[in-house]
Amino acid sequence: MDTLKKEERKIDVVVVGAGLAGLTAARKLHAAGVDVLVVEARDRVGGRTHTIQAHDGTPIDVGGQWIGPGQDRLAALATELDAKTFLTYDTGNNIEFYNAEPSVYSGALPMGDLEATMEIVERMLNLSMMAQEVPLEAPWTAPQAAAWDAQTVATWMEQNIISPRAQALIDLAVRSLFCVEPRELSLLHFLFYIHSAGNLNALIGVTGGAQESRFYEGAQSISNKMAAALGERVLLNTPIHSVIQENSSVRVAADALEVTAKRAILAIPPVLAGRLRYQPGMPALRDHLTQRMPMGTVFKIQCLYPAPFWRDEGLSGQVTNNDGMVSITFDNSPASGTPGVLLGFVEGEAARIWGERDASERQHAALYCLAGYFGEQAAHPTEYIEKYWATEEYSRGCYAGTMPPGVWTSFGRALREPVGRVHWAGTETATVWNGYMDGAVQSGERAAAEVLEALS
Amino acid sequence: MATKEELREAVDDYIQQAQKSAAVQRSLKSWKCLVYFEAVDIGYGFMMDIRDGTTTVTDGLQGTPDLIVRGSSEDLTNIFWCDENPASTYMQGAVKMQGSQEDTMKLDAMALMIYLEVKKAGK
Repeated sequence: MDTLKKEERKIDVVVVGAGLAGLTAARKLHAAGVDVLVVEARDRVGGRTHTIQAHDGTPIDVGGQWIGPGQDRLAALATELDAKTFLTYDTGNNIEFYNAEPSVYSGALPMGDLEATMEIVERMLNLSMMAQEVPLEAPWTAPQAAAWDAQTVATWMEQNIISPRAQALIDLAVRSLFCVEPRELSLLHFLFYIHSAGNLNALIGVTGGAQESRFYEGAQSISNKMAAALGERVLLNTPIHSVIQENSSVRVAADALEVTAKRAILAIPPVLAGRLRYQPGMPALRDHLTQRMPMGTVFKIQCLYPAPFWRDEGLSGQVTNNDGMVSITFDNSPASGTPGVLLGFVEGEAARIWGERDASERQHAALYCLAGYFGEQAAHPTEYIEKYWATEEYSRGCYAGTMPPGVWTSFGRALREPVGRVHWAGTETATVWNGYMDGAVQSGERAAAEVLEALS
Repeated sequence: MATKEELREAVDDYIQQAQKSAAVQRSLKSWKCLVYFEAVDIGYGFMMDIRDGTTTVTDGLQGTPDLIVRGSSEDLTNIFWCDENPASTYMQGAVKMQGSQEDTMKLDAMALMIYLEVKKAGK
């Protein structure tokens, strides 16, 4: 039997995962004079941010892409790295499709049914106020944590929202934020998530909200720039499979590499961390946590056109549909406005259903949807780009790991708590903008600070 | 541009709407907030004291407000007459708010609820 000779390296700190969290941590450690190595499974950095080039060279973000007010860590990092932003196109009318009936509106909320909108405003305020009661560092200690974590968002909606149209909109908001169905999500997690962003308006808004701006060169450019500065300290194509803790070191092993370090930061989603082999094994609480944080399911679809023709009709490109394959769209054109790019999301159950179909059938259905929203012209893009995150081996879904009922209160304490020499990063561990790029940066900074303290 | 008198008239009407609104009373019954509104183009400001479901207005800046709202006299008057969607006006940057996120959120919701109720009533 052939035995593969492994390369062995000794280092101060090994970081697993070259997404925003891992690279931020590595950058902080390197700046503090720590000898650091980042190992990344993929052939690229960026994790759940991924920018590809369209045929005409336009940068297209097939992963995370937006930055909004209050995302101060990401903004500071972008400024340091000279990654410039531009405003998302948010001019003109939006369209709400409710049970296949379109209504055109301007502003943040649909006005097709004022009674329903009234109820949404009131419930959004209720949710945002409830969210303020959830401590960001320890959601399980909220006064009503047990009751909120024992129910799903769907249960809460059934008990608190009368109008079906208002229910449909909150439903859509949950699906858009988490890529899971309201019946799958803990109310406590929803409230924690709202609090981590400030309020619900901040999460769902374009201007003034989380979708306010984009990066000229694409969101992955931030990771690319961090990796470039770290140079040979970032190793691609190195999927690790084991983490072995010893008395005075931790060893991280890939097929052809073994890194011995004083500390390790695992900057990968909990669900991926749960797939690694640990020696000694992880404490039961931590292990069981990683068995219970499923990723969302989402297709990100982008269609390119010679020009953003919908703008000529006074449309913003933003559509919501409670009953369609593509449930939400945005104008995702570059700052120049050329080419015109429509972005559509297929999320939650719809993504699971359409993930089972073949690609051409899916494309046909997506274009049919867009034509229904924006007219026949939308059915004939010059280029169609689709990304299905659920089949990405090193993400297994997007946007982030979610919490079904019972997880925060029973296992939440194990989310950030280091285990021996192993520290955890990744947007799932963030206390601000959890699930977002900003949260990833915060988690990287926090993990780096933990390690620096441990090394001092 | 609106005059000080026009703005005050709109504010007085607005307060009546707020006190009539079941949604506002229900959602904000325990909210206490001192809001200073300033119409920057006419140099006129007033305090709105929101406390336990009742609202009183006095001219000028008194005490330390929890929230400061600044805009043109016309935008503020339009919001108080419910002629403009307050959320859109805020999002477009025509009106600026300064204060805690919680107070901002509540004032935002209150303004939107009153706007929607007035629209629903067909005014």
